[in-house]
Amino acid sequence: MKKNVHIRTIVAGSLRKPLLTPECGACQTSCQSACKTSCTVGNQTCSTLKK
Amino acid sequence: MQHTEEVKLIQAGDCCLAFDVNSGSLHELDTVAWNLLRRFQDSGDWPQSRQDAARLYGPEQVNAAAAEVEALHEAGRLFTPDPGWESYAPGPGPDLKALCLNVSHDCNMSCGYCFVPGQVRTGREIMPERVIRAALDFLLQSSGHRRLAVDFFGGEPLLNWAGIREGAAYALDRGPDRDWKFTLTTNTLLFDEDVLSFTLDHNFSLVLSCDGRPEIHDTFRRAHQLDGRPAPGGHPAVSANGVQQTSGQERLPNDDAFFQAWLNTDAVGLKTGHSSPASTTVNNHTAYRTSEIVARRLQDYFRQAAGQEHYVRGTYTRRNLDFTEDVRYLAGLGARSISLEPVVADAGQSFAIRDEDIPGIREEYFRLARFLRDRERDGCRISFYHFQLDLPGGPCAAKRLTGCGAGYQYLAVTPDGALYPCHQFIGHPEYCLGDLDRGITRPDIQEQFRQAHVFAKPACRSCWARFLCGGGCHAQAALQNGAALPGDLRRPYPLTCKLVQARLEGALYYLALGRPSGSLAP
Repeated sequence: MKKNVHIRTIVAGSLRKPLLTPECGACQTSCQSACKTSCTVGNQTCSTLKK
Repeated sequence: MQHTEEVKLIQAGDCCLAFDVNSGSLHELDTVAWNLLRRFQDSGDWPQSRQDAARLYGPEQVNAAAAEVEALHEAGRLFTPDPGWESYAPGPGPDLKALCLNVSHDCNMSCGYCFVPGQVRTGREIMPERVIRAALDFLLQSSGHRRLAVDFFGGEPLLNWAGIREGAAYALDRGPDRDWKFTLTTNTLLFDEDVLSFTLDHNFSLVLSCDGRPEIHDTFRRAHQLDGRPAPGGHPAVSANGVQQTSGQERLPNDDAFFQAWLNTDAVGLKTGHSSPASTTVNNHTAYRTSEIVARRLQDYFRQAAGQEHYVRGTYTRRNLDFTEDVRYLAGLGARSISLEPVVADAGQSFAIRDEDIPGIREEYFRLARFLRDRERDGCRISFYHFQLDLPGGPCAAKRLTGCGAGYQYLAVTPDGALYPCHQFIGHPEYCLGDLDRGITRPDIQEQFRQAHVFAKPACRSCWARFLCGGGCHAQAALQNGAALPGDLRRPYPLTCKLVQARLEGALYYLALGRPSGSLAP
């Protein structure tokens, strides 16, 4: 594949890959409240994949 | 290729970025590709955009850049079609898996920006151990999850240290087959060897509150008793309803007038450097600066507790929009895990963030990203909580769409056993979901929280940050928007949306700055 010279991919995301199956619930409950340390979903990890 | 399939273009410093919303991919662009994509976003006409860009950069350069765009599109990494999740409908589960126990409504501080309603703060209740045990029984009975979380919160939870010890021990005793995660959020004034030892032994995560530079911290984080111990005769007493209440402590008024008077006395040394006395009497109330004792607590903690999961958490307001300096200060104390959050405040407060602050805040997050990467190059890695994005991994799609679990995955418990969707709703009885004696008595409200997912919120459906944010804070949507249920939960608080977007732009820039060195095309 020809090397890109105008665009460099920093992160190849994978959002399309997961199926929309019910959440298993193993992950941390997210809290978006700024009066705690708000855990937005973007900085959460999947507890199942992590194992 | 449809221009409506979102790509967020970000220009930060000399860095041009394209974030592909529907795949979560992040790309760096040179000026030719940047110009081409800007034109395409504006016009939606790909051939015309190529022609226009070619007049600036010549057809050879633009054709090459366009070929790269098209190849990334084919690979599902740029202008990726919507994944088709709009029909998402949350099922009946998953159920409860976390409790926030307000073990003490009382607090030994009176922070100027405290979000807790006045009637809750002045009630000064302490959660009795029987309520703590009942709350944990409720969690065990309500949840089929193996992993359960309990957050000891307040007020200042260490004013009920015996209750925290009892709660952790009871949870482990009654749920030995569960994987417990305990969190303690504290202002550190009462954090001592005993607390450290117990929390290490019981694998607590800690959230340690400090706002950063002394003059910033002391502006809002005032104590009415510096050591935080109950005043003589002020041990918890039991009221008629069986709920313990502390007594005998003077409380500082917590309103904007007192705050202004506090500042006018220069109690925090803003005008004179930092030579002001440790305590200052304002309107007959004695208030204490706390920055020195908190700094000592933190430094002691960093020396003794290496490896314990923790964050030093601060609040920034419009008085310190240069908050990179507060991260720098905390790093200087030895903090390596830091989180700074924008203040939660009514728009009328003098320190509340305003719309006009957003451009500067975005630039400050960019500055923070550069500061953190510079420190890394010097061999000092500092984890800034909100920059820890996991684009290639991250949570599943269902999690991304539901975001906040308040009201059904997560509940807050008051000292008298009332159940609320989260800690921020305490003091707003219209959101009370039930109590520990009767269980959930308002499943209708609970269902409104469950159904308040990303695609149920019109503002989120078109937001580029929706799969990273998850829909925002329900409490801010419900309480700061000011209208009645149920419409509020589906209308995120607009200012917070802008803050989260600015912070996410900073996080993406931080990722880009971590790329291997070397420049793009000439």
